[in-house]
Amino acid sequence: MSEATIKSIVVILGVLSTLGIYSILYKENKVFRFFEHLYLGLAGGYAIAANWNDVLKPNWYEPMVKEGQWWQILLLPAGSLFYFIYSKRNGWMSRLIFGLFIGFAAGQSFQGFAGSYWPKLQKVAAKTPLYVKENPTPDYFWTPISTSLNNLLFLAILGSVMAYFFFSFEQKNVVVKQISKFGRYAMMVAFGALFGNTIMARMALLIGRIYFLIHSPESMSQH
Amino acid sequence: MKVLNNLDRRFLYLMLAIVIAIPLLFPVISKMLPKPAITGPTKSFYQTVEEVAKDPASQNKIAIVSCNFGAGTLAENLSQCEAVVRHLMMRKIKFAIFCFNDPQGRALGQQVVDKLAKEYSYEYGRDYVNFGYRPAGAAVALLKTAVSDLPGALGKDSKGTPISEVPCMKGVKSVNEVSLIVEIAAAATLDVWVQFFQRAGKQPIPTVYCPTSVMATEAIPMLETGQLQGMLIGLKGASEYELLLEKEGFASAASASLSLSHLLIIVLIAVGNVGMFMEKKQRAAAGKGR
Repeated sequence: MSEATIKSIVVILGVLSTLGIYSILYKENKVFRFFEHLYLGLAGGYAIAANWNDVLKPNWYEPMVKEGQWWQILLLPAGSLFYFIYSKRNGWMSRLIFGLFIGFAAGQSFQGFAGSYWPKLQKVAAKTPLYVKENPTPDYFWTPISTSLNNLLFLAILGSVMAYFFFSFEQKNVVVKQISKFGRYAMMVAFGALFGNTIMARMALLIGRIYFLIHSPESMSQH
Repeated sequence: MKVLNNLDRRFLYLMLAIVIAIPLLFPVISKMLPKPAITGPTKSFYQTVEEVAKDPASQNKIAIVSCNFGAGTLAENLSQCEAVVRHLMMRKIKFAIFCFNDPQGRALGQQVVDKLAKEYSYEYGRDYVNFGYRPAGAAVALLKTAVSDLPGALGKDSKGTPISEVPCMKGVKSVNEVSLIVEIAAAATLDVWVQFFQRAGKQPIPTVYCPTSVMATEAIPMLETGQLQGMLIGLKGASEYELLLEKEGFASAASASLSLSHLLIIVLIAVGNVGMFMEKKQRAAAGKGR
């Protein structure tokens, strides 16, 4: 079979799979179920092959078998301990390896937290004046006044959202109630922005598939 | 008004498919529509790559293109990847493809490079390398090791060659020899770079981000704090970048469909609300009449 024929078959299968998956939009059907399971199986199989070819084979199997690093065989029983979680009698053995990894993760999370939040705190606490005289980014459409207003708005939203989530006492005071209400509206605006971006992402994925369907005859002939 | 509220959702899907398909079938429509405005994060992304290209020290360094995406987000991430790789190739920046979240990323990144390599005379080994895939669970440990010993931590490339022996990796020993981090992501993988790698060397490494649109909002504070130097927001960001590069591709072709589909959604939301209010009014009027 020529390369061109194989490519054409691949494209045709791609078109059939796309249409099969989108058939759910009409109604629930067996064709959709078939392609859904096919996709999951493909992704799972691909991941197993990639883990062997890119990770285990070059970094564990080959050094152990071909380069004399025989001690790497000890990693096999250590890794197998994870699977004892399925045994009622010997389940305790899995805790040894899980405990080790949870310890690693806990240690890493300290550095992770500092790495992520320290620069943010530094920037906000030490480098961001509330009132700015000059724009740090000249090509932005923000003027110094709008940047200053933006900073004030940030503080107002921060405070009001914190007030909204403060449940230690009942919010009876009118002022606190109004602040908390403002916080709720601010969050709704943020969720609206998130939702807008979600729509954009979903549309982009649909456009990608429709583009593929429209241009599939061309991609079959490009050999 | 009942017709509006009881409209079969399948008609809406059909309308959406038609609205998206028309600009793709007739590219002249895309050309008639105004080009997207280049946003600040896209401009600063472009500028960062330009600065890396101009820096003489970058000649002996490597840029890492982290392709943490799979087939599920091709439309957004692949077009971002293509635009960024094209820019790196235009400026002759040496780079490495890497992925640690979705194993498909290494092949998709390679696919982009294969498509563009001939145009910019890029050769495997000499100008770029593919580190391959490493599992997400080991990513933190791996990057922490790579801070002091990058070739040792990564071992072999996707072709089985020890990374220290790949020509473009000559002189690349640690985090200090990384010129740029490009994270193209469909999941929250950026944190691993920011938390454990970006600031671990003598100088912070310029980091740019290509998330799917859904993830962009969460990353905006990082632009303000300087943890990110630029960001391409989904397909829209990719189309802006193509405009900056003056090389129009899929993202530019799709931008008209993206705009029109949004317009349709807005119209449908408005029509749905009008229908709801009219029905409420009719019910109230019927209630008064009784």
